[in-house]
Amino acid sequence: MRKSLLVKEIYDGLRTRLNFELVAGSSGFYKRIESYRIQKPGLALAGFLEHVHTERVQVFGETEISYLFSIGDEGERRVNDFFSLGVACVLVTKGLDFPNYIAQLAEKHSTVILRSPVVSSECIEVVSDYLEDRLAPEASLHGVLLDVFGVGVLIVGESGIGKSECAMDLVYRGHRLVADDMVIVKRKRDVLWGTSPVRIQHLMEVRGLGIVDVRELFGVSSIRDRKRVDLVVELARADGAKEADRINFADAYYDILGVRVPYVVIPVTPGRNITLLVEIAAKLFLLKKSGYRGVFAEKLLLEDEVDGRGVE
Amino acid sequence: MKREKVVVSNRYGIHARVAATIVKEASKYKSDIYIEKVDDGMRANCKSILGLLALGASKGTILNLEVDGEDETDAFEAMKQLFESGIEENE
Repeated sequence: MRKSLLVKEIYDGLRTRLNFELVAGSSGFYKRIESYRIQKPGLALAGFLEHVHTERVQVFGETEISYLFSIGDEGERRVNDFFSLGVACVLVTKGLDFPNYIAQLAEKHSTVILRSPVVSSECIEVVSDYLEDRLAPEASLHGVLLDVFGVGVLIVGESGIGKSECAMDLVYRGHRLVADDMVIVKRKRDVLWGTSPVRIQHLMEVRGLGIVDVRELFGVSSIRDRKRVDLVVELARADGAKEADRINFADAYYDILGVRVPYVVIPVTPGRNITLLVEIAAKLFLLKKSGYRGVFAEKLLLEDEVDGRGVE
Repeated sequence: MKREKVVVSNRYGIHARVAATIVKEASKYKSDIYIEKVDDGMRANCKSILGLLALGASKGTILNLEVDGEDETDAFEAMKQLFESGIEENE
């Protein structure tokens, strides 16, 4: 499903940040913006109306406005042609004064005209950032997200397997909690960002102790508001269907919102120090990222065996 | 899998005590039991108290109740009845 935002939502969301003034066309508030990218419609105003993206925010900066003034009455026709394509929203930057016909045409075509005192480059940055964040594909996952040695580790596994206990132990050892139980993951480009639902931020449930506030217990350095998801660690019952990989030749991946995230399965049996294993998994991730190819490539096999056949 | 809409009928919505009751009931069954807010698609595992609290479901919120597993028929009836009864608030 393609996500989109109402122009009204963008207006409300950025009103304070960009000091928006609603100039005209509020009947267009129901129109939708579907891309985080903005468009500068210079050529469209010069009469070339192809490739106009009505579902993007159109930015009128100094160039557009001074061009319209320079062509006099002809400008009204051009703007009319442009708006009649169904343009959802125009943002006039730098607090510029614009030709009077723009407001009338905006009412006629239900194009929302906003004005901000902020300069174009900054407006574009703020609007794209905001839209990218709001339009990003999102999923809520059952698990715990922590920052372990700077690696964003998502711990998953069935209810009661000990995810929260393991996470609490990690926090106790100085790692940082992002979210327990429910993790909101957003995809931006090819990067996944995890946060906690606001209502349960910094909270953890530990069976027997109830719900505890990690920030209160361990201090501000024990939590983080958001973190990249770098690695998925699944805690699995040792008697479950998943056979433990004794060699770990091939890299495994876990799919989240279409992004392949490195993935390891840790079988849980009595006496295993799960916390330690998660720490080691994070360290291995760091090693691999820095170019280490694993013990087989580095020590146990001949070079040509690694590069050539059969190791996949 | 069984799936049906239920409405939160408690005066104060799914707050901590209510969530605890839901978790207690859901944990009696092997099936996976989820509720999902119809308006924003947020999903919570009924066996997890924090997930339920994260929803912030107030009175009148419409939820999809989803039960999947070997004892889904019993679990579904029990959960549905729990929501419809308004969930005991004075335990």
